[in-house]
This record gives sequence, structure tokens and C-alpha cells, in this order.
Amino acid sequence: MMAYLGAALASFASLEVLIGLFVGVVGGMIIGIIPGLGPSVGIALLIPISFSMSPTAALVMMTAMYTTGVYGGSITAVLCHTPGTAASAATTMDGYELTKQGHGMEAITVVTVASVFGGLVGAICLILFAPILGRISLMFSCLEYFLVACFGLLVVSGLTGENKAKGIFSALLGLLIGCVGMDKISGVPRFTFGQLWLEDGLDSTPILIGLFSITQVLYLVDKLLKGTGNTIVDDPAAGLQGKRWTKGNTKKLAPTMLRSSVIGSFIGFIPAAGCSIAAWISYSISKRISKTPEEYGKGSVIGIAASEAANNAACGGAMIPLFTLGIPGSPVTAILYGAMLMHGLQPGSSLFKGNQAVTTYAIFLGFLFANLLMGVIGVSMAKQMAKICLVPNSLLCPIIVALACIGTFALANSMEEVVIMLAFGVLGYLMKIFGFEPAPLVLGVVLADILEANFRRALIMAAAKGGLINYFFSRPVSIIIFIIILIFAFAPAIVRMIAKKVNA
Amino acid sequence: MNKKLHRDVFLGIILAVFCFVCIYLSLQIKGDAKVVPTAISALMAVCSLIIIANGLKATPAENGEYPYAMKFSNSKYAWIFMALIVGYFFMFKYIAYWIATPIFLIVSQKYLKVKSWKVNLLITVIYTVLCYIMFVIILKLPIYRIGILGRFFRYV
Repeated sequence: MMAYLGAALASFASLEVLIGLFVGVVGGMIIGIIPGLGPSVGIALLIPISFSMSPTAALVMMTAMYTTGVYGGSITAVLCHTPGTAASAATTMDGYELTKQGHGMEAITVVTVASVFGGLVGAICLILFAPILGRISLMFSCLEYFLVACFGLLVVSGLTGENKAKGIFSALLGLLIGCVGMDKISGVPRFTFGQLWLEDGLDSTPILIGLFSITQVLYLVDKLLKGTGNTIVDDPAAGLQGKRWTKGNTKKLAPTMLRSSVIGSFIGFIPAAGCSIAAWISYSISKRISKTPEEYGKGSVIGIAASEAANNAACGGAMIPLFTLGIPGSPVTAILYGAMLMHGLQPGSSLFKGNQAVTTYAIFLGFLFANLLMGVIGVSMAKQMAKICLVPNSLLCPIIVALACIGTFALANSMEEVVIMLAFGVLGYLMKIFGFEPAPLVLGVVLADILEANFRRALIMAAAKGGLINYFFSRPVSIIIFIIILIFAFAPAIVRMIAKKVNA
Repeated sequence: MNKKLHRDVFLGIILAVFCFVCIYLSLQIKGDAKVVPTAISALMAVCSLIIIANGLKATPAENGEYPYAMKFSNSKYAWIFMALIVGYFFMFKYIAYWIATPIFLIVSQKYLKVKSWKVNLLITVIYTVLCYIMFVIILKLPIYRIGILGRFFRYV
């Protein structure tokens, strides 16, 4: 492998590859910032441009866009409460709060450092363990996907806010919204009311943009016209006075970033799980094991690092089954799969042998370098980016609305998506008035599809193998995930009981 | 609204009604496809009953009123702005994005008390031009298909 890596490194002497890397990184950051547009749109746009490029340059450009697109979405999540992609929604919880307190620069720097760290861990997993992890991901079937989704649902407990009943209601509503459309197993339409456009179901991105961006715009407008705040930051005079990196952050964030990166890489390589689930699960685990969980949601840098390291690590993880088995687990990796085939790269073991191995490892190294370049650009631009929070809300709000509308339209070139986005904007504002958290709803929508379809598939498969219990015990990976779920669910209560006894 | 009861009681009742409508609609679905939506709706109904119970348990603050962080009736500016957004959506859908957007930006900035016409127009022009370059020229978004005047903004 070292010989392949050496040869792969030499391919970065080519100007074409370097330009591809730069275009991918900068393009990804720009496309990620626009609400609605994510790496999938960006990579799809790069396909025609990459026709005449070498496979290495083309794939380096596209994989760079993948990871930086996720990072770009977090910049607006932190600065304007507008996550560019679903993967950045968890970052909004603490990132925006930190920005409001006048620490926008620090928020951007933590996002950048954690994203780079997560991206690097994902890239290292990709380089060192791709063939092994690829084989492990083959052990996942519907029962394991279902259990992973259950694990994701447990996350809700950490996101419910003060009123648990409202938080759980919100998550259940998300799951119910996820049921809208044609049933994946039987093909029966559900809650479509005869509308053809509802048969495909509701995409999570317009829902996310509505709940986060439009709701926040309405809130800011109300605040502005009541004379209680003209900018995002509470005190504009101190808006940019915070440091880029507070002393002690490295020590404080390192364990969280490492843990979240490992979680992100693991969840990433499970087909269909994806960056957003990785970010939520990692955020929730971090909150659960924290000694100061009350700081989460109020501008905790650890909370930002947890979600950011995980979502970027998941990008690397998601490429493992793609390259080793040809299994694209998400829309982005599906587009990458098409691009690989177009450039004559057939996923599988052949990619790790002979001449093709040099190209494969060059793509992996490109992914690693993309993360580093993203970090350099991100940290050096932190102050400029943080200035957004000083722009008066009277100018910012109309622009966010116009951008959200065109970005949502661009998702499927459909006005129905814009209607959904606006409807969820109103719903989000009503939820804010009546004390409901939007995060569990988003998580419910994201998980609904994986949860229900895989549960029912598992039941069908279990029927042929002597029932669900027998089927469950015949699958070691399911047992391991189930044990992890039990630990996650009961560990805090057990720790509290032990602490009580020790104190007594 | 009865000031002796927390608003969560009324909210819970509305949510419970919504949940029972969802249960009814779920039961109309054919075959196994109805199981999960029905179960979710039933659980939502339970949550709404808990919300009602919690609301009944809540006591008014000392001044005789509940200290709500936000109220529906106090959010008129937000609702007016939402009405502007809905108007913008209809202009986008039936006229064209490139006509609706400058109008929306100018009107909403005025509503949000941007006093200088120069700043207002400058922001509007810069946003519209940059957006056109990004979405039409670079991303080739078929937005010209939307609205009766959309075709006039097609980039060839």
C-alpha cells in the first residue's frame, strides 16, 4: 500500500489535479453556503465539466466538493441559523447561540477545526481500512439499519428541551411526516390526499430550511420591529471582539473531536445512514456523557465540535462502501458512483490493485488534502465570515428569504418544494411560540424512512427464518448494535445511581 | 382565553383533535401500510394528553399571568412579514422570480425600516445580479419556466 501511496502522492505534481482540488474545495464551500444546494447539486454540476479531465483530477475535485459542501453548510448554520445542508442542522443548536454572544469568530474556528479533524479521521479510515470496513458494511442488512435508526431515535431524548412531552410529540410528528407519500413496501399512498406531487414523500431539506431559516427570519423581524435587536449578535459593539480560539479549547475539544470522528466514520460507512444522522447521534452522545449537559444549546463549543467532527468524518466513511463494494449509501455517493463509472473506475477489489490502485489512493489523498485546504481557507476567512453577524437584520432577512426560495426551488426544480418550505417556516414559528423544539421534528423526518421501511423488510425476512427473535440472534452485528443501544439508554441512569450510592 | 388555565391546556386539546384526525386518516390506509402511521398518531395523542395534564398542573405566576416567552398575539410583525413572503411566493410562481425578487427586496427592506433608498436599491441590484449569475448562468437552473414572464429571463 505504501508504494501505491507514494505513486499517488506524485500525481499531485500535476497542475490539473491541483486545480481540481482547489475548484472542489472553494466550489464546495460556496455551494454549501446556499440553503438547499448541497454537495449533491455541486457534484452533479461538475460531471459535465470533468469529461475531459483525468480520472484522478475529476474524482479529487468531486470528493473535495463533498466534504467542503458539508462544511460550507455549517458556516451559515452558525452565522445566520440557516443550515445549508441537513448535516449542519445539529451545529445550529450551539453555533448560532455562540455567534449571538459575540463569539462568531470562535464559532467559525471551532466549526473549521472540528470539520478538518473529522475529515482527516474519515480520510485516514478511508486510506487505511477501506477494504476491511467495506467487508464489515456488507454485514449490514435491514435489521441493522433499523437498529441504527432506533439508535438515532434515542438521540431525541437529548434534544427535547425542557418539556419532554412536547419534544417527543415533535419527534413523532417528524416520523408521521416521514410517512407521507407512497409506502416503500406495498406501494400504497399515505396522506397524499390525491396529490401526485406528494407521492414521492416530503424531502427533509425544504422542511429543514423552513424550520430553521424562515422561522429564524420571522423571529428576527419581530425582534427588529419591536426595537429589541437590529443584528444577530446581542451586542454589535462586541460582535467581533471574541477570540478565534480560546485558551484551553484544544484540551477541551480534543476528546470530543476524536470520539465524534470515530462515530461519524462508523455511521458514515453504514449505507443510508449519512452525515446528518452521524451529526445528531454524536451531538447527543456528547451531551449525555458531558458533566455539564446544561451548557448544550446555549453556545457550547463542545456541542459544535461534536456535530461538526462527526458530519465531516461521515463523508469519508460514506465513501468506503462506495469504493470497496460499489454501494452508494446516499444521493451524493450515488452521483460519485456515476462519475466513477464514467471515468472507467469500476468499484470493487480491482480498485485496490495495480494501476487503478494509484488512482484510488490519489483520490483518497485528495480527500485528505481537501480537508486541510478547507481548514486553511476557513480559519483565515473566519473574521470576514463572522462579519455577517454585524449586517443589520433589515438587510439580511429579505436576502435569506429570497435565497431560501430559489435554493429550495433548485432542489427539484419544483414550486411545491417552496410551498413545503414556507409551510414549515410557519409551523416552526408556531412551534417557537408554543415551546416546541424543531430539532426532534427534523430528526424524525430524517429517520422515518430508514426506520419503517427497514423494520418491515426485517419482519418479512424474519418470517422466512423462523421469526424475529431467531433472525435477530443469527445476526451478530444486530446483537452488538442492540447492546450499544442498551448501554446508551441506561448508562446515564446507572451512573447516576452509582454516584448516589457513593455519595450516600 | 381563560387566564386561569395555562395555554398548554388549549394547545393540548387542539393537538389531541389533530391526532385523532391523523388516527382516522391512518386507519383509512390499506393493508400493512397503516400500522406505523396509526401507531405514531396514537403515541402523539398520548403526548397531547400529557401536554394537557402538564398544563393543568402548571400554576400562574405571582402577578396573576403566566410568563410566556412568546405570544401569538404579540407577533404581529412576524405575521405581516410572513404575509409579504406569501405575496412574494405568488409573484415568483405567477410572474417571474427575477421580477418578484427585486419587488420583494425593496418592499421588505422598507418594511424593515431601511431608510436609505440608495442602500435599498444597491442591495436589491447586487443580490439580483449575483443570484442571476450563480443560478442561471453557472448552475443553469430552469427557473425561466416559472411565471408568465419567466421566459424573458432565459440565458441562452
